[in-house]
Amino acid sequence: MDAVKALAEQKNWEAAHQWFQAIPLMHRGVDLGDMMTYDVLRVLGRLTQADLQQKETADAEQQADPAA
Amino acid sequence: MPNNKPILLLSGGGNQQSLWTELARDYTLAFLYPQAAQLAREMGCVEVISLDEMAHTNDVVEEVANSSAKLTSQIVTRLPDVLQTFKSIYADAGPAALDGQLNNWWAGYCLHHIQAALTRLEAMNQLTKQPIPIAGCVTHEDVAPDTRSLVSWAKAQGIPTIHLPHAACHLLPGSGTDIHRETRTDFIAASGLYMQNWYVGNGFDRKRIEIVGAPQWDGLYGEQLPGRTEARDVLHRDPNRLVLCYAATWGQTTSIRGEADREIDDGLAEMFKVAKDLDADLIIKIHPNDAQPADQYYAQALQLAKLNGLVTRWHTHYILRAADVVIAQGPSNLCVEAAILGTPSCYIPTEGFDFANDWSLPFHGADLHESVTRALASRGDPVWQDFIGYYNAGHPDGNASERALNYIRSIAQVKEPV
Repeated sequence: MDAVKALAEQKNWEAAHQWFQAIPLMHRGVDLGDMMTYDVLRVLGRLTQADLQQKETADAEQQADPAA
Repeated sequence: MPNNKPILLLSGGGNQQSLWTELARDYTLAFLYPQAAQLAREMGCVEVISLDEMAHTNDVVEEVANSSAKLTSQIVTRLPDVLQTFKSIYADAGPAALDGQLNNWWAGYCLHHIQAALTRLEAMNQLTKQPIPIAGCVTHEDVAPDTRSLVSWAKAQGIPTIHLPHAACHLLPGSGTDIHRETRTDFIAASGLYMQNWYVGNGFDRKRIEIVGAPQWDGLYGEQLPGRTEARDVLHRDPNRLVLCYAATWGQTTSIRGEADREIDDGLAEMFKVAKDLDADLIIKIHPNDAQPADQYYAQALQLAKLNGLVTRWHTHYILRAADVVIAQGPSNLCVEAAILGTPSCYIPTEGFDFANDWSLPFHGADLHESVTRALASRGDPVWQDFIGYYNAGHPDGNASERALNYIRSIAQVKEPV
């Protein structure tokens, strides 16, 4: 994995595991924040992929027409 | 409650199915997946509980509505803290939707998931109101929210939890974080030495792992399987033509490893080229977890490529018997299934995943044409037997179900009060 992606992946991982730490989301002894890790990783992954692709497209356009 | 057999909580994954009839002799089976409860009843299991049915009582519906509103209001109140957490992790390099737009969607997103979670938890809580005890919990995975909540709830009640993984994960050591490295259960019933080593490598205590084999593959050792001629006949394939089977993958999206859709498009394009070069028929086997639009995507792609072939999500035994070689998009467990049925395979490499074995099979070079050619020549190579055995300890006897049953029974026992 290239460095940019690896860093984004690591940050998504931290965010998915930490976003709920300020909020007690316990119910019947179950940590709902932990339970949602999978879904949060998915949404962060999709958002990051979209950002990276957008940047890739912009870089390609810039390379094709440096004056733009 | 129809009897006094202790309750065994089951996720209802397909790899547990061969155990249900035997488990029903000793336990009342309580299923997370409603379709599994239905299937178990059709298989003749009498004492079956569907958590889904327990979730629709007035008490549960009211509790879920109230508690999910309370929990979501806590998230709304603490949204600045959530935003601060994201900012401290991403600095200014995070997705825009997590920064200025978080107010627009985060609370609603959480409410959606919290309602689903509480429905499951409250349904499970109904079980504790029954006069019979809960002896154990068996799940086929525990990373997705539904199965993780099953395991988390059972652990909170002091109920022993067993993970009977539905598939081996081929994520390489050192390839970064991944939710598949996390498991929450007390015990693991592993399919083979590979799976045991993989979980130990990811921090699980080896003493809590028992190698039992892969119950879902026991059926591959039966005598009722179609032969090559029958399989080709059923699938309308010419007995004399070369038949390739492309095993597609699916986007799990819990990580950003690899090239996502582009990788799948490129792999398929390469597959079409090789099929044309070899003048072969092409069967495209869709991954069972892939979304429904995949059926149309692959059917249109095959049509546009002007190749003879077919697209299907099911009929695995027929496909693997009919094919001369399987070509997987990434290292797939379908390669093991194919090998059990005597069909060689190769795969298109992907980032961060690979078979962990040191031997030469299956092939996975950069040149797919060469990989296919080498795989075709490897039919009958004894190395395939070692490959199978590493991933399925039930090979060649097909006795994984029996071993898994013994392990589950040894753990899922009702403790007598002291």
